[in-house]
Amino acid sequence: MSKRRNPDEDLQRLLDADAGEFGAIYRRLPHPEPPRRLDRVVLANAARAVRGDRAPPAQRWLLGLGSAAGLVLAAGIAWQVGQQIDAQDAQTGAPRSERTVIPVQPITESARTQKSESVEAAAAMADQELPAEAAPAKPVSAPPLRRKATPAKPAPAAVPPPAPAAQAPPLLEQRAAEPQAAPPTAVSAADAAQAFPEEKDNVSSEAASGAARERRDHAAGKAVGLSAPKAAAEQSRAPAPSSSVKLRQNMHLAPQDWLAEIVRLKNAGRRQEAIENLRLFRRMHPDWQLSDELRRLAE
Amino acid sequence: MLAFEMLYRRHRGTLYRFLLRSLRQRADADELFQETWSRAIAARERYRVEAKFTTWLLQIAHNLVIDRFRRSRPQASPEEAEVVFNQLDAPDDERPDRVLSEFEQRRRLQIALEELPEEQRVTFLLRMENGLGLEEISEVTGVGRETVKSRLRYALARVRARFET
Repeated sequence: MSKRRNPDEDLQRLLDADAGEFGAIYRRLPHPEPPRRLDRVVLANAARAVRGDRAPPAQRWLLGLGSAAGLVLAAGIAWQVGQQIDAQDAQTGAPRSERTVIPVQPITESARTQKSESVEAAAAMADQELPAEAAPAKPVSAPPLRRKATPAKPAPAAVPPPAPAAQAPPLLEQRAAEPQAAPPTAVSAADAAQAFPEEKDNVSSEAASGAARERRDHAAGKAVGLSAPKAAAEQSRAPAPSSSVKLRQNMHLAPQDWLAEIVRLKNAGRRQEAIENLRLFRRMHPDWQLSDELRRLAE
Repeated sequence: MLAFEMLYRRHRGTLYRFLLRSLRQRADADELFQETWSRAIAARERYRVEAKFTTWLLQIAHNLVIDRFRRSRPQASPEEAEVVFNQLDAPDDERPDRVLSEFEQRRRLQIALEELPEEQRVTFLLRMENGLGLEEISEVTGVGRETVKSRLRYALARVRARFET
């Protein structure tokens, strides 16, 4: 004996406060809870969202402060650099317009090694070529050459004492007035050669030595105030300058060949040139065992 | 933040059970539970004070559940539900709580819930788990009041059929 149920009555019972018979069964079902992990995640998200509401003003404030700090720092650095440049100008007495090249430091170790070799070679040449009185008149923009050249060799007795520093400005002015004022370019080439010795090795060092020689000629002949005949006499008394090109070429010889060349120079009576070559050879090959003859020459 | 914690403690259980019984997979329920709260947090600016928070929260959860249903498998056809509804023919005196043990009653109700078509299951759960009335279910699910009534009737018929087999 069964009768068809009335769906509306069932629905009405379901919508009652106790949800009817199935409501009672449903309430006895297990009551799973969300895991603690989810609680932590949700609450953390909410906390982050609440903080995020307050964060933007603080972030804008930090951004502004950071920008201001950066500007102050940059201005401070610029001011310090300016002070240092002014101090250098005051020390050297050279006008700022003379400084056309900023010396570049080599980055790689090989470049540094090459640079020192290049500088030493130039110094060796300058030792030979530079009359002592010309040293103070060298331009500010070639510090490595000046640093090496000045203390390297004492002035010969026959050479007059160095020109006073006060006489340097006329030289600079004179040089600047010349139409083919080589020094800035030449010094630039020298510095570039120091920074990139492999590419610019031959050309730049020759240019540098040539420029240095030219400046020294100016210094000897004009800045010191010597007359032309007297300068010629000075030059004739100075030791015969070895060819920088030749020295440079010898640097690229095999060690045995270079030593043979040195012996040849010595035997040919070009003792000073041989000493120069030998000095440079010992710098480049410090472990090479020299013969007694060459050792005596070196000493 | 304290207010949110109170709100969360109050609704976390019912929301979780609604999701778990709607989706039948704990991993899915966990995911949508977290997503529901995330959306509620993100949309808190749009929450209107005059709306009931439960209804608003369940609307979010319901939308996520429906999206999940649509992605997972096609909806059960109304014809299938109609067949079950027509089979409903049980005697008055064979009340399930009298015939079956309490454990068996719970087991059958769980099975019946799992077997319900998705829309009916969600509607049934909104009534049973969350205690919503027809108007509120209509608001949460976005369908008319009569549609809610129809879904509840079909759901009841299916559940009862499970108890009487």
